[in-house]
Amino acid sequence: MAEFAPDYFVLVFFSALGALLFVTAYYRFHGLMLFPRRISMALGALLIAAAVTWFFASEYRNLSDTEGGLDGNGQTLLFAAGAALAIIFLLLVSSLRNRSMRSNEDETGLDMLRHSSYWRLITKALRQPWDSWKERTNRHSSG
Amino acid sequence: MGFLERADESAFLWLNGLVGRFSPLDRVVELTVSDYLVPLTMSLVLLGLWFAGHSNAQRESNQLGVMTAILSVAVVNLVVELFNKFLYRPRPFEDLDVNLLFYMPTDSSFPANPAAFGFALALGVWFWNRKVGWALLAPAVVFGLSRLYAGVFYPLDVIGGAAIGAAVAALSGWLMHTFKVVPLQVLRLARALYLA
Repeated sequence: MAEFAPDYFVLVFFSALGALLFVTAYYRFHGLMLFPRRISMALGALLIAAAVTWFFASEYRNLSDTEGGLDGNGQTLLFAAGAALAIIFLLLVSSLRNRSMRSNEDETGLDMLRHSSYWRLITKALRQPWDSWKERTNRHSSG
Repeated sequence: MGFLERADESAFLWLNGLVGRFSPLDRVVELTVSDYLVPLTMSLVLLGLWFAGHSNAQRESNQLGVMTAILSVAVVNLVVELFNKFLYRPRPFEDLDVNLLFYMPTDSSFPANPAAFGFALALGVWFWNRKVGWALLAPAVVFGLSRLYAGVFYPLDVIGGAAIGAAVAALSGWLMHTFKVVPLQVLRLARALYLA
């Protein structure tokens, strides 16, 4: 792997987290927000700017993949990994931060995250088949 | 040498001859020409676009745009690889005296991979969200022009790359429309996990 790989991964993680903070705040996904809306948007933009500035100011980056730079495949893989980690990080931390939020049954998919934390929704969804199976077995065994 | 090649070379020499005349522009180009800045910016827009939209329908359209762009980029990389297998055009710095602002790539000059990538991604989104698609064309154009200014491509390489990117995006857009049921299934699964 190229010398730049760890640096590029850090750049992707923080800039992706910044983009997620900004966009989730802008579209009012309260269940994914870590801070009040305006602070989240400002912090998101700042995180992107800081990550990009750090990456390009810390070292000369115009190097070919034979001299320590990253090739296209490496960049794609690192972007996917960094962005996935940023999403997981946001889902976990926002679930802790917003654990008291209640879900709104009228909405579906991502819209559920406007009023509820991810952890609450996913545990509820995973519990559902188990609960309905338990209910069915209870009904059959009682009579 | 044909007329087209002469015109291509003249246009290249004129544009590359501007290097060193206005150093702030050179500094900016050293950034925009990078392998990392424009691809990262465009990828971050795709990430944000996945969550963007005030209604369910608008968001679904954006997510189909993201999937079309990813498909376009994957296909365009294969197409450029194929071109490189059968066609080799020397880079401008191999034949001419140029002002280089970038490292010396060793693959074929035609087609320009950055232009193909940028146009495939931007136009992939454009089929589903015109506003964001147009906005993404700006970094795509800047990426191609920067490489031209920096001395690593001829104008025809960039135009050819952009045309290939556009053609692949059109094909991907058509595939996504025709076989919409497949991406919709992916979205349904993601929606069940509260991720779409």
